[in-house]
Amino acid sequence: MSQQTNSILSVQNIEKYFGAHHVLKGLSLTACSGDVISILGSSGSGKSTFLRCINLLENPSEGQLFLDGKELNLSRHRDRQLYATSSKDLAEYRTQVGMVFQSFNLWPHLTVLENVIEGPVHVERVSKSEALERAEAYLDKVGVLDRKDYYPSQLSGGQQQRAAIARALAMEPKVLLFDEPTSALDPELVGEVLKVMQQLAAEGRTMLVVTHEMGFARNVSNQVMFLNQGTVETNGCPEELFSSPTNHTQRWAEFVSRAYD
Amino acid sequence: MDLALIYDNWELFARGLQNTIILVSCSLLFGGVLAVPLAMVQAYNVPVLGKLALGYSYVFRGTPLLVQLFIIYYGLAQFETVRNSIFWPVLREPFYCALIGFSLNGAAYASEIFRGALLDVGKGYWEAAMACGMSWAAAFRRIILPIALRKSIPAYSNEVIFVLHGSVLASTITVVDILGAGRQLNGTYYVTYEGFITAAALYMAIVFTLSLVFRALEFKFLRFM
Repeated sequence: MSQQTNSILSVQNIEKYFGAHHVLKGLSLTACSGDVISILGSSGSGKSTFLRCINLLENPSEGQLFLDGKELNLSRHRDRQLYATSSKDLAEYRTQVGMVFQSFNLWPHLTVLENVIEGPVHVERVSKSEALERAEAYLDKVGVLDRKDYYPSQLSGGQQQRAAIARALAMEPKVLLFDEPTSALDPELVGEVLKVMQQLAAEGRTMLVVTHEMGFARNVSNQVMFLNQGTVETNGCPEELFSSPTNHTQRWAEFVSRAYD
Repeated sequence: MDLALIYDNWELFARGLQNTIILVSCSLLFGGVLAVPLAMVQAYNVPVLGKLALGYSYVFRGTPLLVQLFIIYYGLAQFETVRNSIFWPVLREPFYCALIGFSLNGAAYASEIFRGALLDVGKGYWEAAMACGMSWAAAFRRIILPIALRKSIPAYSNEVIFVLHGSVLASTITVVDILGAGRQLNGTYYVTYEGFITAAALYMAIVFTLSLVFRALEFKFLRFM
């Protein structure tokens, strides 16, 4: 399959079955450098499963993954799902596809700084001094450098999520995946995390964001994908989708009006 | 209480204390090292090995330690092949038999503690490790096991005290541990209190020291919680 030259991540025809349940029905997506793609949908639409299939935390039943035009080889296991053929290729791929989780998942026994240098030192094998330098720069960027020697449990949710973003950035990935990054936060802490994400978008980072934040989808992303029951219901640029929701599908119009109620 | 008698026999008690400390710390070390793989294969349902570990745990926790000790010390010596094997120099020594018994028994109990702690580590920590490119082995070694071991500390400190108190059984197969020293004093001079109260005081002192050590460990390693 030919890929656009500037496409960083391309995901083709992802299907996922949980048993007989068909959760993803052939989803595709292409992210070019600097694209910020918001993936919207009501719960159960498959948006998180789709995102998790992209870095193989969930193993798809069908589909292809390309990073920088290079396909990640997948093979079918006995459970009939697709797994990376080579664990070395998978590790390499994952270091370039960063992930930020809904529940942060900072490792609790490591300080914030140790969390951020863990991947660079023990996966990418960069020197400790370089990793520390990188870590401090990214912690500073997300505004939690003053908390670097704290344990995650000593931070607020917003600080934890920003530290988790720094941890993902420290791997210097080509694409960042965000899986409902603000859904576990108290409402007053959502803003600080969105601000950091907005700043990353402005720097030209390539991001895929599963979110319920309509403001972010509308104002920060340059592409919106609306999923319903495992298929793309509506897809396009946010100005167009949000300014006249009723010109698109009925479900999209309802989704938007519910969000602004 | 004849304190002078106790004082005159201080070397006997010192030897008993030394033997108890060596026996308990080596059993904990070997038992702990053995407990980690036993816990792993059970927690992650490894085919065959998981079942074997379950059986191991069932046998060693299902029978009294004293019986296990007798089987190792008296039972194995019945077999000609054992007596002719290269293991005989070890298996004929009561001290090593006690060490083997306590290690195997302790491993079964410790593996239950570690298994629970491993299962208690949230899936999200695995995913975060995988997402940054770690292999299963690296994620286990660098992230999951350290979290589980730290969370095991309070339960494990209790286990250490049980192993210490269980170690008195070594004196039944002629090892001169702390209780063995007390029994020897009792047997030699026909005095009851001097030997056993000294032994009790020494055990209490060890438990007290252990509780201080574990409090320090908890402070250092459980600060994150």
